Amino acid sequence: MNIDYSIFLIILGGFFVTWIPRILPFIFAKKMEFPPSLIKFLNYVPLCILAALLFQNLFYYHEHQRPDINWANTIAAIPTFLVAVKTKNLMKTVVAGVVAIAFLRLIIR
Amino acid sequence: MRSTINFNKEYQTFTDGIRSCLPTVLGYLGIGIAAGVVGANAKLSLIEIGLMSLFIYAGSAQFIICGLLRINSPISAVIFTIFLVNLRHFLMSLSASQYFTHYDLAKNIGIGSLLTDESYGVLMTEVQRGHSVSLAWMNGLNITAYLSWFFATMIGGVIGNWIPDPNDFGLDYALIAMFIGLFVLQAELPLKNRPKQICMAILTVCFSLYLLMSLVSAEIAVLLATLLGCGMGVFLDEH
Repeated sequence: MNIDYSIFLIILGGFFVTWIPRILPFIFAKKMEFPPSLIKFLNYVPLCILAALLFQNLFYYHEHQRPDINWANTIAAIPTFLVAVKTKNLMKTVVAGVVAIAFLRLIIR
Repeated sequence: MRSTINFNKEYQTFTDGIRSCLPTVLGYLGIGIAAGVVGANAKLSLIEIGLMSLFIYAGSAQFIICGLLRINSPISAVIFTIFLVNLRHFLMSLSASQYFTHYDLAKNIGIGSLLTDESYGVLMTEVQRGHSVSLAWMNGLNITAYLSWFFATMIGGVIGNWIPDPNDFGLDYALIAMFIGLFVLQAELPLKNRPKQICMAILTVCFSLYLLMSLVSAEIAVLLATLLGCGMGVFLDEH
């Protein structure tokens, strides 16, 4: 059990470069009022960032090449999506997704 | 907006926050265990894995650190990559910060320090539904997520020496399923009110993400596609 010096530096540096972007907007918001145009823009952030995070996971990423569709993830997304729309319940959606992918991996193998 | 005060009761206490976090815990366990296993395989000690989870606290960044360590990247390059990968937090914090300005600065910094994709998604879903959320609720949500992540990566770090491939359980899909759920909950109401703008914003995100993924890293593609999607939404609002 030990801490490598270079790993220590990575953790320390990594802490600052993730912590500062996380807290800086909260300091801004406390010190000033956001202009209405920024608030309009920010209204779209939750939807767009979730769409992006979700869509990204339906692909395999290759550096400097077009991404390939991850078929297993995409097919399992269909029942998961339907459960989400039907139940509007996050827990049921997560369970549906895990069951769907487990089933899919079972029959593909 | 709903008008009854009682309606907000469920989003006030720390315990309510813990309860709101529960659906995401499965996702944290799946990805956290995987991150711990990958860390162990990258020859990180349990203490290093734990410190990383406590101080960097970002799934994608922790995977990427392990990848970069394997190829002996210089420390400065690793830190810069962590910065880029987590830059989307700036955008999420910017959007979340509007709802807590009536609390003092230290409490705001506390909320920002523990904000993740998931806790942000859960928070904005409640905001979207017209629920007012309290500091205690947000802390319950954030701290449950933080501890789940820490313990999951530690479990992964312990079992990492026995299992080589962490992706065989289906649990890794919990994260994607959660994004699907959060997306559906988030899209529901706006899609009814402003179908054209919302559809175009989502299409812009998907299309630009696909193109950007062949040009830049996946994380930067997420950030840029989000900015483009928001830009499209605002543009359509104004025309």
